[in-house]
Amino acid sequence: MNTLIIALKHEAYHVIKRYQLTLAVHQPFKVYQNENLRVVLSGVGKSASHAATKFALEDRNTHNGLWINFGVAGDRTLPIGSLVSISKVTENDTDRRWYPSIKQANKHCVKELLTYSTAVNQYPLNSCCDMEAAGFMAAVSETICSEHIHVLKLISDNTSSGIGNLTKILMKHLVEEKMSLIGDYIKSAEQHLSIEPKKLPRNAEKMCQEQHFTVTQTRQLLELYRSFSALCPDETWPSIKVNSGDKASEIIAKLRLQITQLSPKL
Amino acid sequence: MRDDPLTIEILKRYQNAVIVGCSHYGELFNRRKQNFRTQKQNPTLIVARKDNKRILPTPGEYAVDAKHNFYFSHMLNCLYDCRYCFLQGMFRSASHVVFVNYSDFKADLTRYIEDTKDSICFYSGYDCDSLALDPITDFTRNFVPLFKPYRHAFMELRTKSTQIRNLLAMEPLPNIICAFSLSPTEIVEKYEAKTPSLDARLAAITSLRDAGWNIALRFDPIIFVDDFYTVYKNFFNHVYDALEGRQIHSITLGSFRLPKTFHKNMKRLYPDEPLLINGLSPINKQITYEENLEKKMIAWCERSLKNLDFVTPVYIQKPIV
Repeated sequence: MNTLIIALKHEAYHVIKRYQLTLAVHQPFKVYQNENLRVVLSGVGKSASHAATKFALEDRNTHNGLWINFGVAGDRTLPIGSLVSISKVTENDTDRRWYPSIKQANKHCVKELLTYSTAVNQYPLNSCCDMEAAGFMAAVSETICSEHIHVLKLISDNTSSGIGNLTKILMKHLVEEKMSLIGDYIKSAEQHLSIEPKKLPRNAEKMCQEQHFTVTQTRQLLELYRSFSALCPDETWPSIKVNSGDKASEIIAKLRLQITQLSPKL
Repeated sequence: MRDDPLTIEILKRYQNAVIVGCSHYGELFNRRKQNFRTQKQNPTLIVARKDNKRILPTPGEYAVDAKHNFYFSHMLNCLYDCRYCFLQGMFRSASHVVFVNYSDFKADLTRYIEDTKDSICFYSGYDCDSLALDPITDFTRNFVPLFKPYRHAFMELRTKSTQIRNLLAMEPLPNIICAFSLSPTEIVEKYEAKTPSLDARLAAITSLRDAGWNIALRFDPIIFVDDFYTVYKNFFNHVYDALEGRQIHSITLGSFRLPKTFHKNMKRLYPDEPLLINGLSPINKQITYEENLEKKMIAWCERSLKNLDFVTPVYIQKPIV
């Protein structure tokens, strides 16, 4: 499951439409989702973005997907409608820095970004500017692998057409025009995700339900399962005899013994 | 940093690269929550300065025969992707870091060398492959000549690479040891992704030896495989056939071993990798083959090598117990 943190509904409108997302959560943040993607509407500003990201992170099942902060941004020189993969986010007030993953392609550019607390008219020299990315990065970097984190911005204002000209309609229109590129970006970023940890096979899951396995014991079982399937990829697991009265610790000890006996001999 | 001549040279080679500035390489390299395996598919190049701790004492088992032994790293991480490599478990990031402040490294080396009259050896291939990026980093051209005036100071270049052009263009020095890590072809193909083949390494060895350079052989790690005796017997024979009686400086032998914490990290990265489980058990702070297995493997390898070459000294790199 990929997660997009977007400030405003107008920015998210065409994403929601294209991926046929439905409203799944109303409070404290609106969440639109389907099986593979969810959009969390954070509201404007880095505090809102931070809070929405923290809220979204509570669902641990989504941690292996992409985490993207998407939205409009300003830039001194880039043309309106440019799609930008952000390579470095700096919080203007504190100078804290983060380095999201980037994608290089001809159809979008790569640039650094400054996050401000308020909207600005004076664009920074060599960076894009926004109001959310630093909040997103501060929250997401504590939990999610750096390769899964992206900040993708769409230039909505520049020195020729300042923030005063930015309307809800223009925002929607800009996103609509770039929807295909945004989709390509997500697909391409997905290809570099880390390998998801192997889940327990069904019979082992059943074992966990029948006997009481603590969280640590479940982890130990998964570890043993990985070892067993690495050493004996063609064999069915578990091939040990488990009695109904066996405690979780006894099952783990039996499995550990069996795997130890697989050790090679010269 | 941006104005350093080596930085400029490196950047010239990557003209399409996105350049992102940071104030210290650790901001990227040491941050938490990184996946080494994912990064290894497309590693970032970090050009940095090493401000302190440039020269460090070697771990006890790493040294060969000098009285004082140190290592230094002009690079962190490696182009190659060897499944057994401890760097995967040691570093959080697979990015390649190149430290370009060579003059600081050279000043430190000179100070260490001139502070002693005993034999002193510096290992340059602990955190990286010494030669793999030599065409870009110009490491050998910068560091090898430093050793020329000092008879008691040695430098080991440890490598799997065939990037020997810079060395061949230089005057060979008796106190530089070109140490090649070698494994049987079966292991190169299975576990040493992106490395030159065994035959390519042997060709590099013979070229360097013929040019007058000292050559050392590093059979480390020795890995337990099916049909171990046949695989390693054929391998040792093949190596010595290729050497055709050329003189070797030293041989080291060591079984596959890892510090426990590195092993744990590597198992997390490669949960389905039999190499990281097969026959391994914890001994104090290390994970290595069970004691009997390890002893038998190493003793057999040592006997086999002595049968082929009774002149070259063989050093055993033991797990720390």
